[in-house]
Amino acid sequence: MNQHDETAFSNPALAPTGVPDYREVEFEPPASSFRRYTLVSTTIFAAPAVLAALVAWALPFIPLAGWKVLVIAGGLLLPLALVGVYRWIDAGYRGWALRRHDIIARSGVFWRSVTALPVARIQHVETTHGPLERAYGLARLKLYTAGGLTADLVVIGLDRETADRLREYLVEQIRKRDAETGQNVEAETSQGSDD
Amino acid sequence: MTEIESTWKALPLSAVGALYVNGIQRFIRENLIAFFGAGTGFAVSESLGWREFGLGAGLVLLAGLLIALVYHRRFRYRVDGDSVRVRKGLFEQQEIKVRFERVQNVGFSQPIYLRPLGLTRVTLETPGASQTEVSLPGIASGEATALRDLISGAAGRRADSDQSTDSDDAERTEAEPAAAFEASAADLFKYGMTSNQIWILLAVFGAPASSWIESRVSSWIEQLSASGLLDMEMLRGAPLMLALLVGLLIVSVALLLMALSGLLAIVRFSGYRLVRETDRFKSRFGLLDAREKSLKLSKLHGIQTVQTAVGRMLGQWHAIGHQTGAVALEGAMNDDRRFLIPGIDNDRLEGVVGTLRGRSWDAPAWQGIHPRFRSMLWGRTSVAMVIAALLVWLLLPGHVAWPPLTILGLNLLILGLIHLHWRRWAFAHDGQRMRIRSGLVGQKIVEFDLASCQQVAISTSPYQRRHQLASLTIRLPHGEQPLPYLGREAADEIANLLLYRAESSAKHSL
Repeated sequence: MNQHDETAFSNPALAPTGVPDYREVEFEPPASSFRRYTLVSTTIFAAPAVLAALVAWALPFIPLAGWKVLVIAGGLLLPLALVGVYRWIDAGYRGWALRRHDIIARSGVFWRSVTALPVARIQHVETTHGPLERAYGLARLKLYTAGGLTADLVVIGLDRETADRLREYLVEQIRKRDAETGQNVEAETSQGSDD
Repeated sequence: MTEIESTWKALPLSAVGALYVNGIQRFIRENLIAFFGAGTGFAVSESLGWREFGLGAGLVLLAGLLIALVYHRRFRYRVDGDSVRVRKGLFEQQEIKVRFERVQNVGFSQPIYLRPLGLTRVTLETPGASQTEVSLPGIASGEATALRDLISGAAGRRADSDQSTDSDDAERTEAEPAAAFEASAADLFKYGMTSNQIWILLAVFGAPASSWIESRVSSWIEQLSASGLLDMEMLRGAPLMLALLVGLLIVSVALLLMALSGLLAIVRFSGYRLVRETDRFKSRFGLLDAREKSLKLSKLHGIQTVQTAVGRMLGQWHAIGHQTGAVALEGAMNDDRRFLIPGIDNDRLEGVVGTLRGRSWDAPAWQGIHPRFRSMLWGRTSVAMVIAALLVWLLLPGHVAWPPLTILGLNLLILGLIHLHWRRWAFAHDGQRMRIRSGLVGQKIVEFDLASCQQVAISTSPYQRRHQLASLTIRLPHGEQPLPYLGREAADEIANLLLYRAESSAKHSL
């Protein structure tokens, strides 16, 4: 029997058309600051390479002509720049959606994937935000199921408020579920600042 | 039934020996590669002799004894009404508490050196990480059975409050119910021969053994040619003969390893018996290490049947009952947590799977995956190999023909393997239950209820999008199960169905 009585499916008998279709959901885009965040985080990641190139250029005893150093640095930076561009475009493709019974996330530019996780299978919910994410008011939502060692689904680029709201909502769902099934599965919330 | 009182208790003093042997065994097992490296080092080096070896071994053994004594001193356990608590740790103390209802498997293990002491090693497995596993390295056998009955009793009471079934169950346990499956020594020998552990044996013993064999063989050949029995000149003149001899040597080594593996399987699974009780399966086996494993029906989430390449020739299968989170330790040497049923022949396979499933299931016919899986892999491999062949041809001095031709021949072989792999991929579902087949020459079939799906991902590459295809990754309680290259519509339909079944299922948490 379905325990979410008030939220039972409209068509419990199995007809091919009666099964809810995940493709019908409207995806929510990431927070508006997420694109800027990807840009800044990629830049910060690339900063050591730029710095090293500049230092090497300035040092008098490097036996390479200045322009050669710049070419090498450019060769290092190009992939990083591509990563930046990829993440920028990817930010536009990302999306998440919450249905009554599951949470769905979408990502990827070339290799796209849509992942759906039934709320009934969630054991543990967590939101985390690193210093940079905090500066942009962002957070990520991590969802864990039974048996997995790592998070099963991570939704990144949510704004803090949405992430907290989602977490509270999901924890409430888990609590309700556990109260009804008489189980006591650990469902905790935690707020970390590690990234 | 032995009563278990609820106080902090130490392990019996005789368990120190068990801890010691167990610790040394584990030390050797975990550092197997290092041991073989050291062994080879000793064999090669001139300055290190048996005296140094003995000294080193003695030190390790002494340290092990010390550790075992301290471990025993600090180890305490306590059985309460609904949980087991364990305190342990050499340097920092750790306390672990496991509630009975979380236990999905009570394992008994009685190695040969514990038998005269009347001790049993008990392992309580819980879903999730391996660290949450609690083991009591050696308690009195009677206490062990009492503990198991207490735990399964707690589970039984939770499942239904009908006490009479419980006592029924207990009585039936005494009377030893009929086995659902028994493996004879011949079955087990075949299982050992076909199981992939021979490759592990080869990897472990291969390197030191090959250098030994090489030195032996070359000295034999010298002796033989010195005695005039074997004419090296003649051999040199007949390369085919030499190739035949080498081939014969390789085949005989492979056969020897297979036989060894078969014997190991007999020792390990000797007298294998699978028994179904009201709420769980039990398996008993082992010659040197008598073991008992149990698996609760409610924790059994998937059935995997495997036929290796050699197994296919001999019509030999083995089955694995999957539980939550036991996937991390997969592998022939570490399969302790898996509920393995070895040595099933073709005729009995359906029966064993039916027993595990608890009912019969008319599985629908297999549906293959899209042929573009094969053509995409064919195309990409061929392009890569042709480029490699061209490069080799251009770069090698003198433009020799045979290296690029060898590469092209290899390519044909790989194309054949890709075809086999594509043909093996298949799935079948009837809206409630699904099975997925994969493999190359051998095959692996995973069967599960759609409702036990934990997460589903639909992914598409640019190529797949052009051809209206998609790949599915279904996460089950024991791990991920891919299903590549389905028609887009079919993939979406299966994903929707999986979600629907998981979300409308009454069994909400696993």
